[in-house]
Order: sequence, then C-alpha cells, then structure tokens
Amino acid sequence: MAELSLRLWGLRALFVALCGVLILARLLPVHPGPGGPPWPDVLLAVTLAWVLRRPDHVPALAVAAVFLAADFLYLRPPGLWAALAVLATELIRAREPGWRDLPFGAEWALIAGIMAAMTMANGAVLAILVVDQPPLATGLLHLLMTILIYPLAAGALFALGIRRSAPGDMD
Amino acid sequence: MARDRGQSDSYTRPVRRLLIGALVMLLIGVFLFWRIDSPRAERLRAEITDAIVPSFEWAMLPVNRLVGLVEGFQSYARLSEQNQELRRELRQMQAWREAALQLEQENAKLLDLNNVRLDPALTFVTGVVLADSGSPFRQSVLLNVGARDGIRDGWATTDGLGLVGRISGVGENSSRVLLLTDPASRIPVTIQPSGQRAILTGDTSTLPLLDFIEFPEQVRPGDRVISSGDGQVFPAGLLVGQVVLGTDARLRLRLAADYERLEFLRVLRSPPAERIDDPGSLIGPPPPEAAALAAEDLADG
Repeated sequence: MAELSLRLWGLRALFVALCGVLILARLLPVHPGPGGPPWPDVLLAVTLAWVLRRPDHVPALAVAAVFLAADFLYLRPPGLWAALAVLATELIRAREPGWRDLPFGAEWALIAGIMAAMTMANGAVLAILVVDQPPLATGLLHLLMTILIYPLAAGALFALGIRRSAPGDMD
Repeated sequence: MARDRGQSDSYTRPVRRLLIGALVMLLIGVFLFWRIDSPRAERLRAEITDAIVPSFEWAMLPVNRLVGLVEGFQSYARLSEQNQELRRELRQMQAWREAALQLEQENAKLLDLNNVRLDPALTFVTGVVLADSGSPFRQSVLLNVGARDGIRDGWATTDGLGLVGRISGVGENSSRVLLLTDPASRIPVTIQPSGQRAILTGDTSTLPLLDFIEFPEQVRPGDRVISSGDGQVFPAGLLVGQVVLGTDARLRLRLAADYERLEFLRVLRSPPAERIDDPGSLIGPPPPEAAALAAEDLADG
C-alpha cells in the first residue's frame, strides 16, 4: 500500500515536471518573431490526455498551479485559462468511468469539443470584459493545431506507460 | 479496493466539489484582479518571470547553442554558394560605404553651417534574448538586462539594423521587449520623403499595419519609415522599415530589423525630454501672496 502511494506520488511529480519542461521549452528563443502557423498548446493536449487516462495522477491543484504559471509566463490574462483548464479536467474526471472504453476516434472528437468549448468560453469572457483579443483567425488556427497535436500527446503518454486502467486492474 | 473507493467517494465527493469550486473561484479572482488593477498585476507578472526564467538560463543556453549548431551545419551545405554571394554583397557594400562616408561629411558640414542642435547622444545597453513570449498571440522577447542595469519602461530597442520594439515590463534581472508586431504595439512614425505622420500598429503578422495616414496617396511602397518623436514615446529618427502594399491593399511596413535572428538587442537609454509647461515668468514679478507663500516655504525648509 505504502509502495503504491509512493508510486502514485512519483507519477504526480512526473506530471508536474513534464509540464514544467513543456512550459520552458516553449519559452526557448529558437524562433522568436512573427510568421509561421501558431504553435499548438501542447500543455493542454498532454494534460487532457493524461487526465482521461489516469485521473488519479493529475490532481486539480497541480493543474491549477501549472496552468497559472503558464498564464503568467505566456503573457495571457492570468487565471482565466487556468480556471477553464481546471473545469475541463474536472469534467473529464467526473465522466471518465463512462468514457473509458471509447475508441480513439471518439475520444479525439470529445477532446476536440472540450478544447473548442474552452476557447469559446475564453473568448466570450474576454469579450464581455472588453479585453484586447487576438484576431479570430489566429485563435481558430491555434485551436486546430492543438486538436491536431492531441494524438501525438496521447501516443507519447502511451510510450511513457500511462495507459487507461483496464476493467480488471486493481488500481 | 475499487469498492472501498466507491464507498469513500460518497463522503469525499461533496467536500471535493466544494474545494474545486473554491480553487476555480480563486483563479477567477486572480483574473479579475488582473482586469481591475492591470498595472499591479503586470508588475507581479514581471516579478514572477524575473524569478523563474533567468534561473533556468543554464538549461536554456545549451539548447539554444544546439539549435544554432544544427542551423550552422545546415548552412555548411551551401558554403561555396554563400561565399560567392557574400563576396558580391561585399563589393556592393564597399561602394555604398564610400558614398555613405561622403554623405556623412557633407551632412556634418551642412549641420554645422545651419547651427543645428541634434538630440543628446543616445547611449545603449546591450542585452541577450533569454526567452520567447511562448504565446502565439503575443510577440515579445525577454532580455537579460533589467532594473539592475537601469532599464526603464518605454525605452526603445533596436537590433542595430532597425527598431525592434520597446521595453514593457521590467524585473530586477530581466525585462520584456514588446515587439512591433505585437497586437498591443502602437508607435508614432514618420514616412520619409513625404513627411506624413502615421501610427504603426502590430497585428501578429510579419508586416505590421500603417494606420492613420493623413494623405495615403502621397505614400508609395518603398518609402523609408522612421520613428517620430511624437508623444515623447521614442527618440526620433530611428529607422523602422520600408512601406509595402499588403495583399489586403493596405499600407504595411517591412521591418528593417531582422526578426528571424533576435539574439542581441540594444536598449537605447532615452533621457526624459525636458518639458516646457510653465507660461514663462518674465512677464512680471510674482503676485505678492505667492511671494509670501514662497518665503514661508523657504523659512520652513
């Protein structure tokens, strides 16, 4: 039991560490300046894929902390995207037992829907509070890139050994 | 064990839901704080960035070097081709240099003849680009110079070729440069031969927009654009770029700065311009009560 919980905490730490690496990797000044398609939100894709596979590895507090840090470092309005990410992961966490046996295509569509809803909610709140927003086309392209990156994120997690718990598994 | 969890869920679930609600409320509170008191929140952001990013320089530098190395190897492939190109360019540059030297002498003579006083000389601090903005919607870079080096908000930044942006957010050891392509960037410019004033507006594309031109018909693609000192935002006369006609038939700007290679940036120290806002005191002696007050102040001080 103690061994099991140690392993669980190890995996939670792995989640936070991976997110930290992803955030810093995006900050590398490899290609600053404009031009090219917007880079996808890898952090969101990895988090949603992970919470759908093993919700116990991804505590809500860790999601909030990681996304708040990303909000601050990425010059986004701080807090809003983090709140949406927490709500999305909680939604997935609550429904996860029912979604466990979905084929990957359906899962992808589901995640795409959640990401689109998050983007729309984000845009709506910013519009209500009259915050300057990026052009719509860039936002949609960013969303599309994030949706396209999702299978890669899921594949990477599969390679890391983060798989859905089979019905017979104890934990 | 699975059943165990099912039983404990019925107790913990309402509590958990409450805690999640509190967490979301807290995050939304942070957002509202940012919306209400943006300057203070942005200062907080600068401090957080200042605390986190420079401490990871050791991790970021090797990766940057590695990427540079890979790009270098790629360019080895066309070494001889590049060599030829460079020779050709060098020959052209030598001709230009000769012309520039002559013009400089002539210019200096003319300025001397006209008794023109130029702006006090601009000095600069050079910083290394530490990090990108990380967001597809914002265009900014982080420099490794900050309040410690005397950097202040609003100072202009160039890469030696042309204007890159301005300082927006200063931490102790780092500062953020808002690039001209950022949607929040607006700077006053002058379009050279016609002397038209315009506002350069970023929109995350490579070619920022020239807005509020009074007589657009006097502006032609290819015109030089320099910063104007309007609003005391920027020192006047810094090269920004050239006018081009965008695909949407609006006048845009091709930036002179090399945005593909932002490695070192110069932050120009601009001394605050002196403001003349009193009507002048030569018209008459001060009224008696004002003089009495001044005398009292002196006595107190």
